[in-house]
Amino acid sequence: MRTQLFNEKDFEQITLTVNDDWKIIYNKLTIFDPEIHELTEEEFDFYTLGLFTQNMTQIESKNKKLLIDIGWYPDSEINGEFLLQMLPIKDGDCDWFNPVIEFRTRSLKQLVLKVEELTK
Amino acid sequence: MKSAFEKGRTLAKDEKLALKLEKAIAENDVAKVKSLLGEISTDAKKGHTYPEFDEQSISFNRFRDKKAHRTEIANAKSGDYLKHKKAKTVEQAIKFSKNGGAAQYLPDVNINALEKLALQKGTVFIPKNNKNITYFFYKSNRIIGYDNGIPTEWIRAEISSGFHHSHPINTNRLSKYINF
Repeated sequence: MRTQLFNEKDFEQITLTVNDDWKIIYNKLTIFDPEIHELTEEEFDFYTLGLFTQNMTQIESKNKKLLIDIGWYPDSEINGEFLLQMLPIKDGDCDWFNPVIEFRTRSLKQLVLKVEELTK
Repeated sequence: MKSAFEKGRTLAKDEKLALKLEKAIAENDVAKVKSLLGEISTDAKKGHTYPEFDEQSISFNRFRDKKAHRTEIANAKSGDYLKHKKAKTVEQAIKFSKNGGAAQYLPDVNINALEKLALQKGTVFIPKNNKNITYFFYKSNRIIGYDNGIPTEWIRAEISSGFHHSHPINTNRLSKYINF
């Protein structure tokens, strides 16, 4: 039997802390930090398939008229990175062409710190 | 046989398994070698769950039965903020989805209807390390968008927190998930 490097406990969902102005629409971020673990492409596919995708998290503030969108690009690929975008909401939709903030990182820790900074 | 052994040895994370392989090769025990290579299968699909929609399976995540699944689909709302419908032309769909961009639907696609079809009829995939996520892969009867600049008939849909959302997925990426 192949040595099991990771199991479900290594992929528990992260609880994001945001203040009352913000609402988490959905969140699929897990505690697994791709920057910490050096995996081969085969291992990345084996353990994380379906977990690092374009649609990972959306958090909105109707008061501030802002959306935070987080995805992993390129989708499902080991050489990808998190992309966090903060976008203005206009007439009930997002202006995807004019992000207020764009933040790229492979570090889950840096990503979560950024979310906390933007939503405090 | 030698190349299979070399491959097996490289892939085996367990030295004991590698030694077993070496012994089986030395003894020319083909059946044993095949068996050991099977143990170290590199198939990324291994271990994920592929429940049938009609299957009343407890492994079918939160959709424990057909009725509950139908209710969840019926109650789910379309996501408000869709980064996959930025493109107004085919050229834009290609451009926006390339080089690590978000996959793009073609502008004339009824995304809401397509997502509902995917949730009802799509091939189900539950990642082995996070069973709170359920994906539905569905093939339309025409090109519905672009993923990394590649045209595709396929979408990957899901329901998260009462919202359904999806995006086009090209067959290169899709092949990691399902056989089609």
